[in-house]
Amino acid sequence: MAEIHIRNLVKKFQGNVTAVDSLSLSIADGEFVSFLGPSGCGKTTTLRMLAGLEEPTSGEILLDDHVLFSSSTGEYTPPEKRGMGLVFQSYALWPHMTVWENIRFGLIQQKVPKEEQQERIKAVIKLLQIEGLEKRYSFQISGGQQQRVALARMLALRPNTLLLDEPLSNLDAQLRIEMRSELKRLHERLRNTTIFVTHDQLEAMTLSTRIAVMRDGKLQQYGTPMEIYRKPANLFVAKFVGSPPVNIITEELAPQLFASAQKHLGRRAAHARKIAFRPESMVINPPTDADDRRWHMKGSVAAILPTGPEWILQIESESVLLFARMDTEPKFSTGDNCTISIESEAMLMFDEAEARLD
Amino acid sequence: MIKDTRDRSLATVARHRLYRLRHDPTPIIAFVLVVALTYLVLGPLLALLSEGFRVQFRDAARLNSTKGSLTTYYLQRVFSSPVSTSMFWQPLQRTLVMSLVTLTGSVLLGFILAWILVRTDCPGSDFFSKMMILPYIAPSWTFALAWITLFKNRRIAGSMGIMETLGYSPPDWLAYGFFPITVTLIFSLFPLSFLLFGSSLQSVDVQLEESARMVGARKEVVLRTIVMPMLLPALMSSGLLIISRTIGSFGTPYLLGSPVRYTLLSTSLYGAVQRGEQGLASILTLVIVLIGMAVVSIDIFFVKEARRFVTVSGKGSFQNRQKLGILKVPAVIFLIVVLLLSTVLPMATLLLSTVSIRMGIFSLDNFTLDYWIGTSISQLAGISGILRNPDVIRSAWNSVRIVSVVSVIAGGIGTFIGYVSVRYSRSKVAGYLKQLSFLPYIIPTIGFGAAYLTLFAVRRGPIPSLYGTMALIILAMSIKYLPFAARAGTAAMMQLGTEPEEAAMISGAPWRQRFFKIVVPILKKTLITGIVLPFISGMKELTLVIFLATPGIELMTTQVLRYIDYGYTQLANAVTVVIIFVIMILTLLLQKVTGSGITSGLRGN
Repeated sequence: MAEIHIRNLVKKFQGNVTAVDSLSLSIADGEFVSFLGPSGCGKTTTLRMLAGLEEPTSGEILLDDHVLFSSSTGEYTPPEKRGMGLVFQSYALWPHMTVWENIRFGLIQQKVPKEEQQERIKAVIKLLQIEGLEKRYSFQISGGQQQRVALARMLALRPNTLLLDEPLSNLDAQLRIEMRSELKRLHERLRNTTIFVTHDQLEAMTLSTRIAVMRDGKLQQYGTPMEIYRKPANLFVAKFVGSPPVNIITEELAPQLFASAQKHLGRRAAHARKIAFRPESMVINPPTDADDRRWHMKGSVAAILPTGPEWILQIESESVLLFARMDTEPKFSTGDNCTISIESEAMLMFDEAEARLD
Repeated sequence: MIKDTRDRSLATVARHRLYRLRHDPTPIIAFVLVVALTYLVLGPLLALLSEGFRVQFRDAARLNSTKGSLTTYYLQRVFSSPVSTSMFWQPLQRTLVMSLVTLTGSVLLGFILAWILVRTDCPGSDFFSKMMILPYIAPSWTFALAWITLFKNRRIAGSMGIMETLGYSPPDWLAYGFFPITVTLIFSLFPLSFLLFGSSLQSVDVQLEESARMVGARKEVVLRTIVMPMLLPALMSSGLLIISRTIGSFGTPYLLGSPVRYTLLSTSLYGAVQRGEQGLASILTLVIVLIGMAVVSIDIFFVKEARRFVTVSGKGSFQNRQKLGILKVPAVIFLIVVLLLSTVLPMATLLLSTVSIRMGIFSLDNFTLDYWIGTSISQLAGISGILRNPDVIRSAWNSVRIVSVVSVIAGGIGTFIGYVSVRYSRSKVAGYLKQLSFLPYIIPTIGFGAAYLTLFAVRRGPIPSLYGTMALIILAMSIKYLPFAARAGTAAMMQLGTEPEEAAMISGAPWRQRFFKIVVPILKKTLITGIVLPFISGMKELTLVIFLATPGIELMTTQVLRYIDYGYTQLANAVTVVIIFVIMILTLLLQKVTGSGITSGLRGN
């Protein structure tokens, strides 16, 4: 069991920089939660406070019934007593120890009996498929292998929670995909509560059961990947998730488009200041085929970018460039005129404060 | 089939070759470098072997042999003869003991300072870190000079020491010999280990410690099992560097040892050269060179080991500095005391002595500027203050001239070595040049100077005797500082790669344009470092030039020594103050221009 509750967590650094600003969220046992956000959003700081490496300025962290930190009672559990495992971005393998010694070190600290040590080390080495590297030092193995050793080192201790700090960011593209599925496989097999810090929305989307999107120390939204993608709480979340990025039109950028969209959406769009839609929600047709049930606009094809499985189109309309995505080969060429139509449900509206309107 | 109608005559082939060389003279540069450096680096060592095992002219009659025939006479004289105890074994033993004591002292001091300044929340760590490097910038014999100024007793002539003036006559053990040499060496060498420990403490990735905490190790356990092993290479490396410097240093043992005939290897070698015992000197030099090489070779091994401990930290912003708590006050006091002893006291002593008629009397009527601008100072046999003294001005002019040329030559050769290494990377030429240019680093300075004296004392084939010329000093310095220059040049060229030059080649620029309009401007900053660093080292160089600077061409540093010999302590101190001043200005300028400091030239590879 490892259920984590974070309540009103605040972290201020010297010079009064607020890295984390009254963060509250709960993580159920066995979940795979991603902290997603741009660099400097406080995601790593939060992770480090969970690990006990950083002391919060105020707030509470609970693990099941244990208080890991509480500013009101002054309780604080040091990192070595929390039973969590942390894998660093740089892997932080101890360079003066072999792979075997790296894994064994923690087991010695936990006073695991000798025979059990051997069994556990062998088990994690098998689990992570790093057989044969036992006697090597970290500088003698590849980045991907170091990654696996860093994971093995933590998993050997059977942590209640696995904390991963951008573990894939130092790997090349190929390895990254491989390790991503490896992490998913491991999680499905071990069912540890896992917290994963990343700035890569694709990693967060593909791996997580829930995503916590953060910005400037504040939680923006906490939900399943599909909730985050389809019902972003605000414009920041909408923009951060999805590639190519969400299309946004405003009154300033495209007054005619904005007015027509606002009119089509009716009364609930009265307070909308920004209207956004995902590239895949755009249906592109020849100029004559206007579909009156949907909102539609005229435009021209500015560029066609085939990626293999799909086609990204850049459409120009009222001097705004919009991204569209098609999974069938477009019957257009660059410069052709076209009509774009979008379902009302796929259109996201944001108010003055950039919060999404329902 | 198409008939090959190309002209393959010898003349045509030669013409094509010549054309290609004009277009790209890299092969010529490489050839010149290989030939010149082989002679200038390996030549001195071979000359030592040759002189040490051949009968010298002066001994020919006594040995009943002809000049130049092979002999082991000098070997025997050094290792097993009635004089070998006083000339070799005792100095060797003293040198080794002194090295070990100096090593222990400076490593301890350096480590404690590094720990306080890097790992704890001690206030003012920035300021103290900067100040602790000052003793490293000053010439190493500055401390010996300050010591003499303070503790000199009536044993040697000349102006009285400050203690003596104050009514306390320092005993010999306090004034000269083992104790003061060790203490002053420690104060001049501890910044080395401070810098090495400091940088390796900083480079220990905090995440390594944090992962240990995560797997359940307490703070103390982390310190013992993770941090300490990480520092082992720095410990070994700084220790060995200190030993090598101690063995190779001449100024301090000369100033503080010779008044009581406390001879170390370097001063024993000096004596042999002074007496004109060339064969003996060669053998002694060989011994010093071998010890130095052994020590530095071990160091190289540990530096290699250390490299694998350097990890790139994912996130460097998190600092977990140890809280000092109630220890904060003692820590700061300790830092202040070290600062006072290592910097303030010696500098103040030197400076004060140059404006006092008699040292140690602190009253206004004792104040004088005579040692700086006076004419015919009565206490000093009528010679003038250093700013008006023709000897000092001549030696200053010599220093500046020689060292300027050295900087340009060393910087230039370094750049060319870098250039050739990158253009011919993976070839044997690059490897050979790299090793050759590194060799002077591992030869103790005193041995290097003696070896150059040996090589250039007489005419050898087409190469004339250069003894007594500035050219010899310039050559010796240029080659001695080559390791740093070559390293800087190679690093810069490696970073630059060959593409910028190739792009210029494609756009039709001839070699001279490519080199001076593309390569040099891009590397300007690095090249400045490569030129200024030799300048700084050259300005304070004493050990290397002690055999090479003849009375006709004094340098500022040898002038200091001359004044000490005469007992003109204040004049010696004043010249030293000028040297330190120049060096400090240059160091600050260098820091301003390049953003990096003198520490970049610290490591040999």
